[in-house]
Amino acid sequence: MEIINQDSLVAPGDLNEAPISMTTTEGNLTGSWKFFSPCLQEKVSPCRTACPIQNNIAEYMYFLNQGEKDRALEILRESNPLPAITGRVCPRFCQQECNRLQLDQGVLIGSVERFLGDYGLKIPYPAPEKKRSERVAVVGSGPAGLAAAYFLARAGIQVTVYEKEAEPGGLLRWGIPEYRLPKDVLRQELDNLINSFNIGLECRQDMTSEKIEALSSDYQAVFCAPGLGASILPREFAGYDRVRQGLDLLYDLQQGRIPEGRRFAVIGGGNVAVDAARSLLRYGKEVEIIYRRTYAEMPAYPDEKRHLSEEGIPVQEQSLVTDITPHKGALRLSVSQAVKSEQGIVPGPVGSEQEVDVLVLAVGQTEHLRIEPKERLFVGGDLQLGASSVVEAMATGRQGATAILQQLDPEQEAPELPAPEPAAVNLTYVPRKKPLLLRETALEERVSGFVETDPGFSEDEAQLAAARCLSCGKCTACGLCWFFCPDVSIALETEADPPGVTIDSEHCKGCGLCAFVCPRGVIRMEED
Amino acid sequence: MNFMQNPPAQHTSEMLLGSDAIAYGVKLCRPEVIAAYPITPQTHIIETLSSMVDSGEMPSEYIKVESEMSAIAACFGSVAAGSRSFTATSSHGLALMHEMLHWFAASRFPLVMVNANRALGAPWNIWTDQSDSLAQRDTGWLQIYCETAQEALDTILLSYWLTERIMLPVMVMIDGFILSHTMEQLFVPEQDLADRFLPAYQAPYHLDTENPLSFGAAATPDNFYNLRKALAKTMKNVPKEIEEGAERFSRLFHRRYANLEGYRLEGAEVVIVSSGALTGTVRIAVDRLRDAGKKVGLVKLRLFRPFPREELLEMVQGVPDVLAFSRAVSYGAGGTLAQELRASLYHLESRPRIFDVIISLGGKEVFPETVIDVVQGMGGLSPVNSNWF
Amino acid sequence: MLWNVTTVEYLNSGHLGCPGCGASLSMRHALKALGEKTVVVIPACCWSIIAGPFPTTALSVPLLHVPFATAAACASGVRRALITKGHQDVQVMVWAGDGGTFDIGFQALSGAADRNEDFIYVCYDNEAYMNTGVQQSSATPCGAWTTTTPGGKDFAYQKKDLIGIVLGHHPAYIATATVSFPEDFYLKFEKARKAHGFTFLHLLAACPPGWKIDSQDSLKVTRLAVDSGVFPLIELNESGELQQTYRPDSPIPVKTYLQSQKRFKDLSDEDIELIQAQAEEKNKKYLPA
Repeated sequence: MEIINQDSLVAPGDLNEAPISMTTTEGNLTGSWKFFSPCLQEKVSPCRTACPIQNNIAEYMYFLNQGEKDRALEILRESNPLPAITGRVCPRFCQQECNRLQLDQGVLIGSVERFLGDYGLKIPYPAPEKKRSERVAVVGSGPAGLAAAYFLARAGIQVTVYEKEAEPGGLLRWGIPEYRLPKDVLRQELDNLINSFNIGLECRQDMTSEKIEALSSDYQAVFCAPGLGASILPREFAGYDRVRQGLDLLYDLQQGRIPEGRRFAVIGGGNVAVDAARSLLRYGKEVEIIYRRTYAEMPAYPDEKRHLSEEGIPVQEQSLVTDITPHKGALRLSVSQAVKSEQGIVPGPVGSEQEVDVLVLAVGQTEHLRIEPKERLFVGGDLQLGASSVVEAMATGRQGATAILQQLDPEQEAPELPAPEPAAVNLTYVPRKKPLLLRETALEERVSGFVETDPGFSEDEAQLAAARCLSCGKCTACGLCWFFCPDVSIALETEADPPGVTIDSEHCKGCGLCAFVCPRGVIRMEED
Repeated sequence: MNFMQNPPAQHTSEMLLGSDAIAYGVKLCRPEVIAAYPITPQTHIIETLSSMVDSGEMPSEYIKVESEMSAIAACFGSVAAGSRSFTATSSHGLALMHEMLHWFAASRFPLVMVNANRALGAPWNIWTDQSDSLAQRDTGWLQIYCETAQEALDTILLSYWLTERIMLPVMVMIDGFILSHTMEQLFVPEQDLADRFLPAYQAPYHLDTENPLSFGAAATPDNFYNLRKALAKTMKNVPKEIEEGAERFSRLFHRRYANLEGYRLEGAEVVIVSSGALTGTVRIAVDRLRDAGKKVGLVKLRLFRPFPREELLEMVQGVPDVLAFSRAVSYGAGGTLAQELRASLYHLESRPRIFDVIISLGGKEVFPETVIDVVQGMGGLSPVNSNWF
Repeated sequence: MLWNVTTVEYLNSGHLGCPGCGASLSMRHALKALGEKTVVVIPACCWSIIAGPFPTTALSVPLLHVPFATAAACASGVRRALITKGHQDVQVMVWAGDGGTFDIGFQALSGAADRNEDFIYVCYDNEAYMNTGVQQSSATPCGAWTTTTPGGKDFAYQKKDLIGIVLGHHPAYIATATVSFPEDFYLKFEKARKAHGFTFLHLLAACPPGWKIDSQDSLKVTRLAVDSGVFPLIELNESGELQQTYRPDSPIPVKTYLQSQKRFKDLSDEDIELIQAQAEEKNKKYLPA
């Protein structure tokens, strides 16, 4: 069959003939339209700002979530030498500031920290980059002293720690009951720290002001954090055998010296009071707490208070012990209702009497050493702050170490943390997740011994918890800016280290949607 | 056109309604998509096509749209997607399509559309004149006016060949009722013959997800100007391409259509220029006038766009008077055909007088006697103003 | 990837949408949802410009620009042509503004819907003729300023219930969506992609210059529209009823939505109460069974 071929006279895509477009618009440099440019600027997460030692939580959570446990631990250790300990006993200032609280459930930072800390118990701390010849003495091996020793040792300084007791740890060892901080964890973490840096440890060194003075001539510097001494004992309670100071009691309990008697009352509302009461319960004692304000006002950590209630320890709120009298080998307490007045809290008219075998006072501590900081002599810990949390004490250790390092080497600039600029986060596009449940040891098991109340996270749980972290202030290449860019001007670099985004400023029109949607507050619009 | 008594090879002889003849022509071209909206007097065309699709004898997609604007728009889409398409309309329907007519031509998309010539209101009038199609002369479409149903059928085939070659749409005109609703003895080609003349459409560009192109994006004034210049250039080449098409057509179908057809021009002192079915009437009048010794000839204008100026020149060279039989008026300017003739011949040093004769509007009857009256009364005609009857 | 969205881009940078343009972002994701086997038909609207000047194109899928009133008819033709070529797997998407849908293109839309043409008609509704400089369309909500409603108030009408009208054509699928609710948006495009027959998606697309909002607020504002009930996210469910696909936890007052845009600045408290009542009435209709 003859096909009379017909060829169109218009060639395909002949742009001179037909209005056909086949080239991309990318040649239009629409970036020239903009008045504002998105700028990537990492910020400090609110949890880090709240953390006294400024743990880089956003960062280590990110890497843990990526499955990089070692890298997460490394980041955590940059600011925290004792994560297995703080992961257990820290009041978790960080968690109260978590942005995720506005969405579903705050990230359980402390539990993740504890997981990483436990993971690191057998992993030596990285050796210092260089050894230095300077020697520094640290007085006290509590959290402040250990933190100072760590930061100094990490800088290559030879550190010797002087400790009054037979074993290091200070309050960590004898002030915190085993159900909160197992001795085994304490020992492992401290051993790991001391051994990794070859820190000298001199125990049973009861330091006096004079001895410390002497140290400062033997060493280039001395960091002094011996802690506070005796509990405060109001005059009206002095002179009774059956009146005990809270910390002394905790110390005795740690040493295995269990006081006689069946009925105990603990005066106070802080952690020492709660620790004492809960410890006594575990030795089969009948115990109650007498506190001059309400339960809600008790300054002990919320979890501790909750455990106290769960374990059935009664709290006589708004009560004052106005008088004690020995009575048949016991103590008779006169208890009045506490009344708020202009003079503070005073006993009200109504009183009752009750009998206890032992009265425990946990109403504060006083300093046993008076040390004035001066050149080459630095002070930290509770001695500097008054009774404070472990992590706050550690912060003073770090500050002390930094100050010492600067004194030793004034040329060296102190490492600077980014200014705490809160990250303005947008949670609109963060998917809600089911809250994580914290497991707790069963009540019967808890009160019959010193097993840890909090069994901690498994690796899977820690991963889940880390996956909840938004890593506020840190770009994780989550993709929201990329997703919502109307101008296809954002490229994700998920494989990069660190992951991030690049903005095509030749096409970006500066609309600002990326800055709006960023759930981590990393993008800011700046005027061109 | 030379009439044959017997059908040529591979043709059948059938008695057909003009509209059906067109439908047969369309079917022979195997359109993949048909979109149409009914309007008198086009209705029979699309009814027959509907039956053909419904019975399965024509495997086309038939879109029964809700307006003429959508009819042409649906064709715009189907042609853009690479399918040979067809639509037919008339009068108000064509007017409604106006915007899309520009788009079609300027997009360089091929289409064949039949327009059954009919007057536009007001008042309502369903009868024939050319005011609907001539009003669309500036849209970039080719316009071909048919005298007979046979010519209309053949022109459908020719037009598909042409439109796909030059990538400009073609409008094929028939006179409403006079051609659409009357019967003729026709030669209908066999499908095989049609297929040899018109192979399947291979779009040089179309909406193709493998090769994504964008059609009709906003252009700068300079780019726009160049695109239109290219369109004008293509239009200039159309008569040559029609010649090529006519040649190929005649080899297979043994009949041939010219852009202009001269009739009894020898020694003519008066030439009537006419188009569409009116030409048949004029033909009879010319014969009678010639019998009466009057040197009158006829030029049948088949192709109106592009205007076949060169061929016209050859035919009217040396003729003193030309009567332009217009069936459309540009009010305030005169008959459309007269304007076109004057514009085409103005550059000649010795040019004929062009008499603008508004011969019929809205189906006003024209008999051979009417034409004879016009010619015989020529002395009273104005060579400047329009002459109304 | 985020919400399992493909990283392949079918929208090129360098397009001519305004900063923060909701219609541009919507197109980007519509195409991601539909994929490379998609043909786009665009009548006169902002996108006639956004798509870039000849000889460039902002899309890497085929695109047919068509006259204002003709989108649904042109798409019908494209679809039928694809059928004749056996390309049933290719999606055809009309991408029209509110003017080209509610007003001038309405007849063709009705025709195509009535014929149950198998394509997706997307109206990106920015609630006025934005491309020509903010003139009122029949999608302009009562109380909004435009250059042809300079007083901002025209309470003779409520916004045309186009969803209700299209529903009357018995479409295969129908839904409202807005890109600030991406999961819902993608889900609906996916349903539209899978549906056989005429599908209609009504997108609310913020227009920063026309709505008088800052460009970085264009997502926030459409979220407010949804959360206040002004633009409920609905779809045609399997029982043939319109049903909400998202219910705000606690609906916010329309006042918050209205006050987020300067185009509504002339509204009085009574006006706002009226709009609040209208929104509540509308939402009652779409309550899940």
